[in-house]
Amino acid sequence: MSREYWVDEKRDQQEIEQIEQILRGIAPNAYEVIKMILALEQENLHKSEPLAWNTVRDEMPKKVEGIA
Amino acid sequence: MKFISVELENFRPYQGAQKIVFAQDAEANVTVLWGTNGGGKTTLLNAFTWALYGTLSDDLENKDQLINTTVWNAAAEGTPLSAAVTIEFEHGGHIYIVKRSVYASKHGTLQPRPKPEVQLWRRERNGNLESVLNPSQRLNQILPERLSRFFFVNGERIEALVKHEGGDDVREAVKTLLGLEAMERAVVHLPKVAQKLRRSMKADDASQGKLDELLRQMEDAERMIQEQQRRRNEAERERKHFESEIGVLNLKLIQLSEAKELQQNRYRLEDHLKRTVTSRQGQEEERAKLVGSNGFLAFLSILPGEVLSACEQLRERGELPAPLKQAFIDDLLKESRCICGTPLVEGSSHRAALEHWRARAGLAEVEAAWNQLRGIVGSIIDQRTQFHEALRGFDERIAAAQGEERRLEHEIDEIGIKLKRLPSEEVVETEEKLEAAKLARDEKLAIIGAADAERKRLGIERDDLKAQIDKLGVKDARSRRIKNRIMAVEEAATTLARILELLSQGVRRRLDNRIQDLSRSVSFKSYEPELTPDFELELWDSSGAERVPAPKSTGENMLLALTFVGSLIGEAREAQKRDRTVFQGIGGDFPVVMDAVFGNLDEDYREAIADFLPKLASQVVIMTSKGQAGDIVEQVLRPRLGKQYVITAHTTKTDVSSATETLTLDGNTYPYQVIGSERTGAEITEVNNR
Repeated sequence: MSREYWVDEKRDQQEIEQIEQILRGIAPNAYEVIKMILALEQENLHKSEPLAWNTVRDEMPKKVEGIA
Repeated sequence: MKFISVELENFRPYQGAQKIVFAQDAEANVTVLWGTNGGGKTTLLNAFTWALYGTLSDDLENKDQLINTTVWNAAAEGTPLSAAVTIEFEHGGHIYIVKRSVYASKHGTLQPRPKPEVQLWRRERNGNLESVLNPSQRLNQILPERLSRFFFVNGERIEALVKHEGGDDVREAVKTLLGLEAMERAVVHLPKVAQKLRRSMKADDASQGKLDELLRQMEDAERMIQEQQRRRNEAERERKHFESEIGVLNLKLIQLSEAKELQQNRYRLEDHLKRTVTSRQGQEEERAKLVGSNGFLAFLSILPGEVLSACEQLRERGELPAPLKQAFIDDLLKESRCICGTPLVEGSSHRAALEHWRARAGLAEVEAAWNQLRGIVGSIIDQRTQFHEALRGFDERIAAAQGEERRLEHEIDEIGIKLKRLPSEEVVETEEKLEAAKLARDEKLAIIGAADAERKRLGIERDDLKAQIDKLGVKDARSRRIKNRIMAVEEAATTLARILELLSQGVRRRLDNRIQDLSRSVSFKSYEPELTPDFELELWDSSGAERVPAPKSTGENMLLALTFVGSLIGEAREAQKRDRTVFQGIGGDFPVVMDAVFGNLDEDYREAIADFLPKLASQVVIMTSKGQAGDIVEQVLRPRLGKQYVITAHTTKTDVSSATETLTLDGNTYPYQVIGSERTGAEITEVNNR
């Protein structure tokens, strides 16, 4: 394995750790919102941006109702 | 993903049912389809994108005429006709069959606007075909349409990737590959969700009017931010265009012998200027940090002396403890002898004096604080001196850099003047165009800067309005819950934006490394490719003392674009090994299908690309004419050839000059162009490998 790849893998690891740290540092409610929105956007990826926004606009306020 | 076969039924020039089975062997992974120009190769490339996504490339003529025209014209009025493309492929251990069809009844010579239907099946273990619901969605998950242009490559168009304008396409591809599209949309949508939630809030009766007004102002600010963003994007697109033009004109000057030396000198000076500016900006940032952390020292010129003198006066008046330790006096009294040797007999005046001092010796904490204060105040003078010296150092270096910048700018201007005084009209004209392009680029940069500043100002205004809304007392428990939801949604949006940036730059870095690795194995010139932080593909020549942009010939552009495709395939292959839970990207081993990759290249590049293609992906399909590929491609590809087909072009015309009637492959001869045929169309024949 070349040095570049080694350095790169180390950076990848750092990147993963940074993301984990960011996610650990947020409120549980915000983490729930992230999971909800990513799942919703993933389901609607095949739609055009305006159509996807229509779905998110209608669905997300209902989904976040679980947050007290 | 691996293609097993494609079958065309009355699709465009392909009359009847014609099938191609692709090479799938790891060693012999290349399928070559030999066909003349205009003989059906580009249609075949389009058959893939049409079957998978229902799209055809812009350069295809008469897009609505999908049913083979010979079949259409020969049919009686009212006859139901159809065309279809069926692709069988393997993905993630499953076999899929996708079939897109179009049906029409013949009425007149022109076919009606097609309304294609798509079906997708998955072959189960027992061999039965199971229909897949939402076929378009599933196909987009397997290989997103946004990535298709990198896997179904048109050689004539892929070169555009390496132009400055290609940066957006590259950025999109990278985000799609990593599954960041969903995140990107989420980052845009979440603030709008928060805004919608805000609108459903109810304030205290007295504040409701104010809440409504604040919401209205916030929506206005949001709209204006979007308007500034649109202005910025437009200017950025134009800036890239001018940047691209500047690159072309700079290279042109290098290629003009009269201007070459001056132009190389200008490159050197511009590079030097760029580095000087970067270094000066770094010094300015460091200086700002120093002023931020230690700037208070500048206001402490008299204070340390005053503090020390005030303390000394207090001490002298006995209002501060003497600098003596109680324990030290206790020891002297215990030993009944002073440090100077005087006996301290009970009742003596010496002992009494020392006992008096003992009472004045301070509490340990006060004493420590006093000593500490003296130390700190004393060191402030030293710190001030160091701070002033550091500031002077920064100022001197910044001033020197500014002087150097002025000198370099002057020399660069001088070169421009010299170039315009050269006798060659072409040089003068090119230099004038270059100057105009630089001016235009700078104008766009000014617009971008102004839009950024305005966006920042509006952003602060919006945040202030948001803070005012959040401070308003809400009417009921429901509105309080909404407030909590808004907070969660906003935190999620900020977090996702940070993660998105982190992941985008991470994958860019990995792709950059892959591009460089691939380039070392394929390019025969010592140019260095780079995927810049702006996602633009650059090529550098580091053979001289300075790194300068390398001349991008068609061959170099093609190699650079293909190394990018190779890096995407490598990254997708690697991605399937990673464990992803929250962020789902595109992972797998993808094939490439290429049309016209050898066109207009000289023999060295044809050889280099033919050598590179089989290494690019685990399955490669190449469509080329014999004329474009030449013998060299056949020779280089031979060890990796798994399957070969000839696309015979039939034409009813008889007056075609310089037609190649036959093609000899592996010792067998195949019809290549049939002039004066009874029909016009394309026919696929498999080559018998010896």
